[in-house]
Amino acid sequence: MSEQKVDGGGGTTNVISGWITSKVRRPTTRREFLKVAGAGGFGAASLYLLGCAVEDGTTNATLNPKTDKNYVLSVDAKGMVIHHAQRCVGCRRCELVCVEYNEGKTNPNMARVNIRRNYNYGPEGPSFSYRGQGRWGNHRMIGETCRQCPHPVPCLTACPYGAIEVSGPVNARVVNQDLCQGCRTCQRACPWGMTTFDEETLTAQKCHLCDGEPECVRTCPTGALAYVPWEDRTKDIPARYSIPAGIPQPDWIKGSCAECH
Amino acid sequence: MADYGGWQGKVLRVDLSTGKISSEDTVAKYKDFLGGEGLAWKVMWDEVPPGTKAFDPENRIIFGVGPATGTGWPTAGRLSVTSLWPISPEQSTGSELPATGHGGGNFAAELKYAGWDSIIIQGKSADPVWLYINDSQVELRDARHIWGNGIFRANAAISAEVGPEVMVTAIGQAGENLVRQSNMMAARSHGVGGLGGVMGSKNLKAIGVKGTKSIKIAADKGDWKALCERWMYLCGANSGSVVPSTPQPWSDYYGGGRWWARKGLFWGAAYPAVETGICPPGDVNRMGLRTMKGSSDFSRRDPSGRIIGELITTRMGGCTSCPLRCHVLYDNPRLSQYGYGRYHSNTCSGNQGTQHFPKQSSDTWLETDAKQLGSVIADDYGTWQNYGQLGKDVQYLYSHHVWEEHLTADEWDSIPWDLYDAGDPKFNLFYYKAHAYREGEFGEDLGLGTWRLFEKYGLDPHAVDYEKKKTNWKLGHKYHHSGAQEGALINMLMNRDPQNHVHNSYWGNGLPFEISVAIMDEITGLPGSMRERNNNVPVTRGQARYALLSHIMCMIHNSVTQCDYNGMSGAWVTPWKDRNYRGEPDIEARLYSALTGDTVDREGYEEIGLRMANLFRALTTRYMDTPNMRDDHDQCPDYVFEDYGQDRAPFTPGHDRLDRDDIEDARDFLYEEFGWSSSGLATRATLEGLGLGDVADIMATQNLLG
Amino acid sequence: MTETSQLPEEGKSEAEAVKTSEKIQKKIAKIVRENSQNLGKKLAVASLRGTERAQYTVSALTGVSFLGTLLPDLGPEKLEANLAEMLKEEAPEPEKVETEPAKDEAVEAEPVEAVKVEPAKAEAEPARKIKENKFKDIKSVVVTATGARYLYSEMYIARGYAEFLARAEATRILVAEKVRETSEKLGELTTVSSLDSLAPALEPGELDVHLAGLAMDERFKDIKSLVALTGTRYLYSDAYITRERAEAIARAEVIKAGIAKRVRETSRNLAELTTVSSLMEPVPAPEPEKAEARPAEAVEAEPVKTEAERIEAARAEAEAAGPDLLSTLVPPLEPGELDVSLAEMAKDERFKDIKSLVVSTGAVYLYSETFISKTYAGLLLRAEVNDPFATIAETVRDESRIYPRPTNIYRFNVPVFNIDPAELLTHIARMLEREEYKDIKMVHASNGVPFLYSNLYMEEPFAIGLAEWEAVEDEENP
Repeated sequence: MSEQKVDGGGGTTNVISGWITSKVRRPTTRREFLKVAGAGGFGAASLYLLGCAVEDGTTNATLNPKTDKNYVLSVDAKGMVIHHAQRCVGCRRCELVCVEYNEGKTNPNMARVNIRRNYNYGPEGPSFSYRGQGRWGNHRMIGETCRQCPHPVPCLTACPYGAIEVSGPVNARVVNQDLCQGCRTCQRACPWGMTTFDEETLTAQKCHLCDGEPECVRTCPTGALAYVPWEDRTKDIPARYSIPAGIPQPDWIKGSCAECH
Repeated sequence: MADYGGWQGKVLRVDLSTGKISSEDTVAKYKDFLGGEGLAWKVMWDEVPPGTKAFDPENRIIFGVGPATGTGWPTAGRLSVTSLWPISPEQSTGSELPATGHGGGNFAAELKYAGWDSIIIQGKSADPVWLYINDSQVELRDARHIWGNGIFRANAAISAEVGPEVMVTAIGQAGENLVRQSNMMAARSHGVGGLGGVMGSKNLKAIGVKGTKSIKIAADKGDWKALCERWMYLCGANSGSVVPSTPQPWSDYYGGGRWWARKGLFWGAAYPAVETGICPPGDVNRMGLRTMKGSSDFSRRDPSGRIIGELITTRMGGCTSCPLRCHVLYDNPRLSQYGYGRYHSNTCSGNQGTQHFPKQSSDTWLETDAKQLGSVIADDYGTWQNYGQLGKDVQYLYSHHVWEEHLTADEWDSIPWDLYDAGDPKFNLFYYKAHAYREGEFGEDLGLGTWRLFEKYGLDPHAVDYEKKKTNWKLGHKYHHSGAQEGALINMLMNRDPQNHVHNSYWGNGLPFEISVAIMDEITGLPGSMRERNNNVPVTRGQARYALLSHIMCMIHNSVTQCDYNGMSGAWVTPWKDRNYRGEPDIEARLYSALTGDTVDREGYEEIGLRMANLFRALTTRYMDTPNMRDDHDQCPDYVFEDYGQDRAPFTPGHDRLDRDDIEDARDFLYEEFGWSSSGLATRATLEGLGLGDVADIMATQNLLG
Repeated sequence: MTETSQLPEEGKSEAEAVKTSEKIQKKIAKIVRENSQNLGKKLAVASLRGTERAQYTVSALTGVSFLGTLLPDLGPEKLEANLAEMLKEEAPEPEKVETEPAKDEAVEAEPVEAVKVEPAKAEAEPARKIKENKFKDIKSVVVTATGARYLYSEMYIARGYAEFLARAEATRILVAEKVRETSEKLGELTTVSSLDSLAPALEPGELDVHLAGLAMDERFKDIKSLVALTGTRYLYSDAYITRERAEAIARAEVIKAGIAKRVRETSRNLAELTTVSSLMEPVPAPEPEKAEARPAEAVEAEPVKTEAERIEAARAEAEAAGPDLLSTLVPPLEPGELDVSLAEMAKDERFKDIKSLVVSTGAVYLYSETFISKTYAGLLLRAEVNDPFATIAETVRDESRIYPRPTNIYRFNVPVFNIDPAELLTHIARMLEREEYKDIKMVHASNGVPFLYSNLYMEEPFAIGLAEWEAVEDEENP
């Protein structure tokens, strides 16, 4: 991979080429990003390019989120967990083991797979008709799982501290517990309300696919949860929540969209 | 003080008379009794003196959960509700006897997530209220707008008020109307028998809980995971079956039990349909398919030959954290014609809304409708049928013309007996309402409970037994889960039907008898600890020890709380041929130790059960105020000593007839195993050995010490 | 291969001795360098494939013992002394290549001991006067398994490659030893996969390179290879096993592996018995052309240039055909071959889960006990035999004996019994009339449900009691 010449800041986008992957997705300065760009043709339409702050040892700590302008591009996850409503028996073991086998305590309220929300009445909410979904309706359990969104990842781009990263062996979107400051912006940003919060560590939580061997899938007694190759599920289910206009774009994100789009 | 896992550390106390809400230290006060049922015995012992009646404000009702409840300990989602038992006869002291109702769903777990280890309710509210628990925020809310409505509406109203994630336990009109034989529903299909009237007597319509807190697990997360997965690896199907019901490729044995899954058996109303298929042991992702209860509860076939239960089952359901699923969640569109929704759920006796009918309708769909309609109406009104006993009482009183003679002519004529004779579902529209609202003499009678009902008409409560064989046991409670001398002993110990699935599941595990008895002899350490069905021999000490173990393990399950319906599956017995079908007898103690950090071995864990059982014994003795528990409490109905229509001698094959002298021996063995006197009283030595010296002191003052 | 040298006489002076040593060492160095250089030249000429390169491996190293044969007049002690001098100022220990022969259990793969090469300027200088070492390019490498030492010149061969060459030598020797021993003492073929444990220090894929080299090494020309249809690669020594015999053995292995795989998959996926006759039928190929091209027996189809190439070609063919097809294929069997195979399998630990059932007609059925229990297999067998009377009666006898319990007749309404529910009562009625089933009796529960039991194992009161429990009393204890 040969280097391309950089023409200062604010200039036109240089052709970034080659196939760059990194284990840890962190925002990086444009300068550093281009430093590791390669020779060869432009990548596929989905732009599998990342900043490689790793390679020269730069970490977030050295970046000033207020002044450093960056690219943010996230490679797709390799897998995802999906929920089969017709098989789910509402035992909630998935929620229990998500937290018990990762954090070592019981707290389904912070589980990163969600059965509880629709358990009683389904997505439509409380009803006096007893004909909705959920346990007081037609018994159908509408479980929800993190979609491991493709770029732009709402929670990742909303985080003011860059604490949500593409990380691990299956490129899950992961909250870096050391970087998370507990502002809960990601909870407001997720269109499906899948980010949760650990009230004891005061950090955000989201599905990290247990590095490719999800505990929820392993424990599900009817196989209602499955771990499958990733595909884009952000279009097939309407957003549960509209993202409040009040979520500001972090400075280090601002303007970066225009660099590519 | 050690910081234990499992317990949240606080028990909630609510005084409905004063509105005062307070908390107590769980560990300091109740740790030795685990929680659930055991904790409740302690509360009753300390706070409910003999003379208190079930519907008195000073009676307590304890909604009990334990350290395991709500965690990933498999099946740890149960609720134990304890109080003075309304259908129990009043004793010389004036009190009914104490007993516990059990239920499931998600309420118990949610209570733990809210940070509470149990709720103690006392007093009586001036106006109907419901108790709202939202983590540490606890308040009594006005329930006047919900009072008078059924349980379903109460759930929806509360959910609309505080959000859809709230888990609710509620009474219906039956409990409100102080019907003795009524219940509360802890979830959509989980009835807690017997205590609806106690809540009603306190003007407590419902409890709604939302919780977001953590439960601590003492063990390292990897060890905890390995242990929970170990139990799931070792366990069988619901109700402790360790062999499949039909021949399956993975098992050398088959027959009986609830491991019904097989190729060609579907959750037929799932969309798309789900085949239960081959579900071998150890396959965790198919465990929830093992127990296809729908086709068992509704086993009759429609005119085309298909099993109705299979056609209507959408899935199985159950309690938090349980992988085994035993509730039938069904969709019967035909129910809509009666004005009730098409979706309903329940299991076992709860699904049998036809037990009172004189005969099964030959129209299988009609009969199914009647069963399900009865079930849904009962679950809405909160009526209770004492596990099928009421149905037999009704059949008897009707067929013996008791009502015909005693009711006024107007009332008799107003009852749609033609529908009753036909087994028509529309009869249930009348029947359960009469029960819930105490309408007329008939409606009143339905809610009295067997003992008071038969007393009222001057009948021997055991009269029904001779016609319907074994039903009523004694002191108003129903025979249940019996079998040989050990079954009799288990029934004798209780104040209500035993609901003892440690015993029932073990007997029904499906293995050849010689394997089952060999395993049991290893567990008890004594020979001959188990009998074949209907093939009795003179009692052995091993049987008494088995009865003791069944009694205390059931109580431990209802205290820690863990589902008792699986018996000692995984612990005593497993489906694994390469383990010679033996379980790991200490696995429950290991789960308890890992969760709480309170390390006990199997004997230490059983000792907790002994402590609770002895406290329960002392409690019962005190309410009865009799030094002769042997004869006054530990009764055996006459029918166990008789043989209907025949006169086969005891201890000959083919029947369950017992011998009076032999039962005396059985009692002797049992009391020796417990460390009680020959009159069945707990002794000081036994009580002190279990840390109940203060109990012994009080019993001594009343000459009730053995 | 160099000429012998004229060696100086013994008993000369120290200076002369030194001078003589120098001459000897120069000679040694020349031999070693030339051998090393040969490879270097060849490498530079063209990019060789591994198999071609293998032709040059051994000669690139100079074995110490081989050196001794080139300088016979020197004698071993003098040779060692000179070598010691030449090698002295390098690393304190020659690099050891760990290629241990495998023990009975799996040997932990030990990495090649990376010898930390000391810098040329070592701190501990020997006491002896240091001359500039003209032979500092001469290095040695030792194969611990065989004890052989080799020399090479660092000017032409890098250390890593020298180690590779030494490993090649060691591997060839060890493999040949094992294959010959197995062929001779056991009369068995050696699978290539079993050789992995011999040389745990090898990199992935390296074994194949060395085997290719072995195939072209004159010393080991008795070692032959064979690729079975399953893709399994075998080696044998034709000093002890003929080609025909080797093919027969491989064929037998293919048959047994195919049988086992077929039976296990049928048992696991279908929960069915495998009939022996179905084994005789070839598995239909997904593409008929491929099946045509496949040789019917485990012999190579077309001639190839080298043994190595043949191995590679066969492997490529196997992979192209797809593993499933190969692995479930049981080639058309000769009369008697099946019985022989089954008999051998019955004694073979690897196939101890494969069980057979025989019926009176002589038909044989197979199943894998890993996936089907003995009881279930018995029921499947009865279903195959399709004699409803026998199915009912024998099942009843079993249940009366084992549990013991009488059999609810409606238990037969599941597919495994292969009885038409509409015919069940008729079959029972007729069966009860038969003399050979006179031990089978019927009782009824009080609700009319019929049960059958065998009075060989149970008496009527007992049967009635349990029938009553199952049909009536159990219902009352839900």
